[in-house]
Amino acid sequence: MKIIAPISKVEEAGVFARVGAEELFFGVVPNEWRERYGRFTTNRRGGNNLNTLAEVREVVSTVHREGKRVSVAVNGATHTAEQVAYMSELATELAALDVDAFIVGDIQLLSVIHNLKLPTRLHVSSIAACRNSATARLYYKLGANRIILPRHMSLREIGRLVRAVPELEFEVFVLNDGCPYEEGLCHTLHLPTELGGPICFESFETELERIDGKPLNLAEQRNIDTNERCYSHWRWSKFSRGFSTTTAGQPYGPCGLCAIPTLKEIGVEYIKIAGRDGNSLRKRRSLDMVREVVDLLATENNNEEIISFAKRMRGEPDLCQDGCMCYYPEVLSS
Amino acid sequence: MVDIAVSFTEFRNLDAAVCGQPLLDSIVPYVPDNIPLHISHIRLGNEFCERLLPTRRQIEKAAALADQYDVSFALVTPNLTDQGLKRLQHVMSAVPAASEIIVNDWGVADMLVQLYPALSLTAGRLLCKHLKEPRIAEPTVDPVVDWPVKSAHFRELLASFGINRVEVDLAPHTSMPTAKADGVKLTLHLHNGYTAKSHVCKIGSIKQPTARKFTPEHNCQRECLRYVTSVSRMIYPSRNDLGVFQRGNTWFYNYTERMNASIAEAIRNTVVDRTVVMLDWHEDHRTH
Repeated sequence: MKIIAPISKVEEAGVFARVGAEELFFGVVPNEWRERYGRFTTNRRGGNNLNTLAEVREVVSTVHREGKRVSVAVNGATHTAEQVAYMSELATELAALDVDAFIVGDIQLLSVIHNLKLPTRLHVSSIAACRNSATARLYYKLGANRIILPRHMSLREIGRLVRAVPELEFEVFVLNDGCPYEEGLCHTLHLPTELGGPICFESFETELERIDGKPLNLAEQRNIDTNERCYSHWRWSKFSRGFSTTTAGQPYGPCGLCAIPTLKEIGVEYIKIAGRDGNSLRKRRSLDMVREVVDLLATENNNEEIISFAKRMRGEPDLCQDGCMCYYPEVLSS
Repeated sequence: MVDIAVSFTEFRNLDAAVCGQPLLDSIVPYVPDNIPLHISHIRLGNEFCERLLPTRRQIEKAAALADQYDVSFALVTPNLTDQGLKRLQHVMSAVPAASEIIVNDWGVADMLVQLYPALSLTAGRLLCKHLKEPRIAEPTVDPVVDWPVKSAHFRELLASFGINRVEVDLAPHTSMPTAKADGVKLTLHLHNGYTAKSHVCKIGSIKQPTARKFTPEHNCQRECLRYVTSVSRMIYPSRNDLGVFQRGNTWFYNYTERMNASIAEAIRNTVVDRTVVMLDWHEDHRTH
């Protein structure tokens, strides 16, 4: 299985390529774009992008020397006509730098870049929210080589999709960066902290009412209160338990390490570590964790052993019990 | 005079609505500035969850009611998993040939255009993505926030599916455009817009065991049809905050008076030639 890992600095590229990433991905936001469009970036990340084509050239050269590949995230959910024109030019320049793939989130941009007939591969971002085989086939017709599946898909759903569209490669999340919503269908901004931050982090007071106007009965209220507490814990877990790590620097959830054997069995070849915004140590520890599981998979035939190993990696096996950190919680009950 | 499509998630609410007060009277409170209106469509279905896809029988009955009212019928479809695609294929034979299908999934559009070329497809608002941040309620001059139909590339994409109509919301921080989009007709949702949806469902997890809460392929009891949640900011409240509510897996914001005035003007200028009111899927809907 091939590991896809994030970078946000030139100096991360060589190290991560050497220690086990098969492909590195990053965003690039040229200063000219920033001046024109301000907070709207080429890839939804306000920071932690490369800023110049010279940096991209250096990363490509370093990673290719290691025999690995580079993909550039140009995965804004939507673009104006002017932005599409800009992105077409940027894609042409990036292709000339020998970038291996573009990660694209906007179907119109996918179509436009495909029509440029560049040698660069096209990977459909999880932002495109492709959840069914008809959509995957459409993206294939529009030039996609790979689909990065969105979060919140079960292993069964992934398996169906992979089997239904064998002409495509599939990539799935196995570590970091949860999102409680459908990322491609959230139209809010990650506001500055003083204005509320991302809407999914902000605290809201909620009042649930019955549509029929009747008051909530005691059993209902109890279920609702329990659900609310569980949701708060789930959301906190999905945000890496308050964006924390183990003492060894290993990130807490979201995590799909124990699902890697099943993912291999159902035909997924590419596994993604998210977290471009994390610091270098967090990214490195994430890569180490995934690499160790993949290496074990190459020598160990017993999936139970691999699952057990994955659960022990953080030294806190209890973490896995409630499934809230899991990308694929069904593994726990299988 | 503006065309209005009356939209229902549940057939039983459509059935009750046509049996009660005149349908037009139910709509008037949601139409800004007393603009004269004409019911052009009855719609059934939900944009946000495949578990709310109507049955064949419900579609047949809704289409018959539309026929009885001498208005067109439209089926609303959400973004789908492969299981949802199967269910949609199963119910499609109940959809009359001249119907409109609101598609919110590019794969569904591609499938329907191949299997049912006679149907009229409209791109729903899940396909017409743009920034809609309910925590920025004041209009800002920001040319980047725009409906994608302004892009010729997006219009070409729509044309490849034979789509010449798209559905949109008004973002809280923008004003209505004053010019039509070339070759594409606009349907605007009245009263509120959606801002974010999830795939896993908080409200649908109420009766799930802990291990099955907030997971895909959940077995909800359609709690979204029984509850609505009003939402208010705790730490960063502002006097400009919009009314926000959650219905099912989706967050909505209510339009303000300023936004409604802007909509009324766009209707008068025929920038928008059709509107939608979701009569059973907003925070005010009560069955009592």
